[in-house]
Amino acid sequence: MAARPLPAPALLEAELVVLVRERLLETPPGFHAESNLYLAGLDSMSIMQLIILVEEEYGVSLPDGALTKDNISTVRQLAQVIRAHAASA
Amino acid sequence: MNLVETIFKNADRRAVALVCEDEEISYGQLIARAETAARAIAKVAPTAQRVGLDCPNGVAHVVLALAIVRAGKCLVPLAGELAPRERERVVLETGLGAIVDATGAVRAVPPPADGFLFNETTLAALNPAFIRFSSGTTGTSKGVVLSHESLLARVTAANRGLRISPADRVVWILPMAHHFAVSIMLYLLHGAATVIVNPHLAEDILSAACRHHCTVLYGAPFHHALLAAENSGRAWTDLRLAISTAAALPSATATAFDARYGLPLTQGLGIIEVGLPLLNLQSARAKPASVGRPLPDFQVETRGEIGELFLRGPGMFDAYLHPWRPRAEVLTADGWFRTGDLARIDAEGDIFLLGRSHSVINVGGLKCFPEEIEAVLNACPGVAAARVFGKENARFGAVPVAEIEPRNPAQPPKAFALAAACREALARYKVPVDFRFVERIPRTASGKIQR
Repeated sequence: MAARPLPAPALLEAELVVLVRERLLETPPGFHAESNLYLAGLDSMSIMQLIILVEEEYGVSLPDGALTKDNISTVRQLAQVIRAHAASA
Repeated sequence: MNLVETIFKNADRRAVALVCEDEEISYGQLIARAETAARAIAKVAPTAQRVGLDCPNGVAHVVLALAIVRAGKCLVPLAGELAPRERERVVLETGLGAIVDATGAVRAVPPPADGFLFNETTLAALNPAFIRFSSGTTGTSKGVVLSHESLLARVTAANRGLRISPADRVVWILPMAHHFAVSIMLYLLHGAATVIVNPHLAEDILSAACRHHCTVLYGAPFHHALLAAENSGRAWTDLRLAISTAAALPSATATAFDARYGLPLTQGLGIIEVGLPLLNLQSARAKPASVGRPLPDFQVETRGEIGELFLRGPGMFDAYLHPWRPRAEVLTADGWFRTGDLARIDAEGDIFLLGRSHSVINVGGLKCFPEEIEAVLNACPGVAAARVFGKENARFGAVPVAEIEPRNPAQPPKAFALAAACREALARYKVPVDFRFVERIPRTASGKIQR
């Protein structure tokens, strides 16, 4: 579970969907990379847990300014933010 | 004395009590809703002494919490992140007679077959208003009991520093199940409005703060870091006091927040057993890393070679519920509470926390003890021993990490299975983010694992 290189974009999204579904939220049926995370139940407590899991899992450090409502509104958005900051690290 | 009756009696019924997503609720409306809910609770659970509240942040949480106490019951918040097994333990160990959910529905809970784990008469004699079921500050005893009288005393003492008045509007972003007594109760008692914001990202907080002319922010370093990085350039002109609590405030966050909003962050030290004894009102800008000085009614001392922090003041907790320990047994003979925090007091009297003498892990303000996580891991097949510790985390302070000594090194248990077992038994923030397999976990001469 230690930090490892980022997988390819499609795989990263798939992994994040599993992470959200299995480790974070009781997601509704049919939850996918473009589902709205807030509608799926992402609240202040789970936002914190999501950030911890993502940063630990992929060894990225997301800057505070990147943690906007839009940037974590879907798995797809989040995956883009992770990729952007893994690349610049 | 009933604290909620006191709040209702003193309230200006036309003033705004709560704001949530553009719904404004006056004190009059809040009182009416709470009185209705209190009657429903009394009807369904007339004999229940303690009532659980299972409700996320929102207007309903405030209404129902007040209703429970107004009905003469003792309020026990059931935090949403608890795993089912943890929740069952709270229900059992606090001897809940009923649980109220977010819709206000009241469900009676039958008394435990073997009776309560404490003496009900002794507890009732304390006039309990509130039980926070946590490990407390020191880890071994569960359930911190606060009486109506203690709550009023600590809220009054805290407000000598906070100076909350009817002119204030407080932005609320912390979990209500963890913070209610010396916060929302305090604001209500002093006629202020509480502006509830959810979710808690910077743009939501700032938008609500500006729209509703908020004057006070009470948050954790995580929120402050996001707010400091908010780049819309909008000014928060009404902000007069920004409190940082729950976890150590990194100096970089304090500096960035001050630069962005022109107001320094004021650290406070809130302790469930004591209230809000320390607040950095004097040196917030010069020394943001300090938790400040004692408020007028409190005294502070550091003792011993390592400088452990001791506090004394009004409104201290009344008892630990399980195992039962009344306050007098916990405090020193001359009334000091031993916090378990290591601290340094500088020449001007400003206090700096240096760490903990106990093994608590503070994940962004949510606390857990390695022992509870280790107990789950030790019960997993293939685990000979587990050791959990807090790994430093720039954003949240610490996150739990586990070391596992497998029974058979050739076939160690799978990390995902260990994580699944933890998720089943523990709140999510307690689930280790990493499992490291080691040959042997160091033990002391007596066989205890070394920390």
